[in-house]
Amino acid sequence: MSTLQFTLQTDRLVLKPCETADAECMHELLEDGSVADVIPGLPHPYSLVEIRECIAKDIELDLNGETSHLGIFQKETNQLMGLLMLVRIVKDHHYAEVGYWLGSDYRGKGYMTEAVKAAFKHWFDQFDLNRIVAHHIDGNKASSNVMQKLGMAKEGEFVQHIWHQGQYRNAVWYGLLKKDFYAD
Amino acid sequence: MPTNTRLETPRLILRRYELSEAQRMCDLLADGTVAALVPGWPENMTPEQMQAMIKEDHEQDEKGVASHLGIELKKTGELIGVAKLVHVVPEHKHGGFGYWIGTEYRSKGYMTEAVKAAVKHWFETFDFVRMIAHHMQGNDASGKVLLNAGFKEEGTFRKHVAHRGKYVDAIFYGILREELKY
Repeated sequence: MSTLQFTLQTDRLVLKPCETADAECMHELLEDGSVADVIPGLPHPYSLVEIRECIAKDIELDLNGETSHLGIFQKETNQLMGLLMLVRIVKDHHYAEVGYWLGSDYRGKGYMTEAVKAAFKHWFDQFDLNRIVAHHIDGNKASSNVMQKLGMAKEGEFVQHIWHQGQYRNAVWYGLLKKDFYAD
Repeated sequence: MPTNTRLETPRLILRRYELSEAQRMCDLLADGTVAALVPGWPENMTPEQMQAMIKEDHEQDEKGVASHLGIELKKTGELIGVAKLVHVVPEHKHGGFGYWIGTEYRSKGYMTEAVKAAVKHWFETFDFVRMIAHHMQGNDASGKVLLNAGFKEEGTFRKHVAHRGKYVDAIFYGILREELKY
């Protein structure tokens, strides 16, 4: 299967589209359930077959320009550590929504901030965006830390907006304008 | 989802609007004040385009993914505006809606009266726990309707909407089922 062929590099990371061959590695990353705990809608358990299908679907959506998925690979080892994606590109209003996760072994090392910064630079240009938004469920400190480090501003809290693991949870929204991203 | 909904308030009836009312809708929208405030709203729609839109609204309602309600003024029997649930999210049990009313019918409390009845109905029919709405920065009349109906402001999304060559802030509001006092 063909994928969009491009690669972004940072000091420690390589960002590039995943292939179905990455399914096994992704399965291992997701196995402990810690990602599904904070990302509503992510199945757990998540079988290898389902993950492979999901990657194939993401590749197709990316080729159609509807989304953009980037695997986060450790440069030194070529190990897949997580995923970073534009899940909703709203062309009429020139904004898009970003989502991301890292396997538990790779958190707390600044990888995500490094990855998102490079991806934003690429996406602002690639999709002619004026603004990028993101949200996390209340209490996801790690995610809000990433957003704040990138200079995203908290713009709202939607009360009981998300049904997740048997509870209605608040959604905390962040936004970043292109001009503010480039001012930093 | 049944589309024969009929809600009555002291001064209004909320009900399905018909293809035969396309011209009336065009007349209500002719001065462009709705298109000026609602991003993405087409300007100068012909009755034929309006009929196509009404047809589409009906199809969505029948599928249960939306609920479009015409606002009829009881004393004249005429359509004066629309309240529409356009974004139904069953997995999180919430819904987003919009509304508009012809210029000469504004500032009389009609929209608040209609929104309250529609919101109550949608909460029940779709089993929502929450409803949301948003308006562009500067559309104070719209914000007032939501506050009057018990909504709380939950955020300002900066430059979220591209409208007539400018990026405009979007103000978001939400209400929970238990906050519904009517």
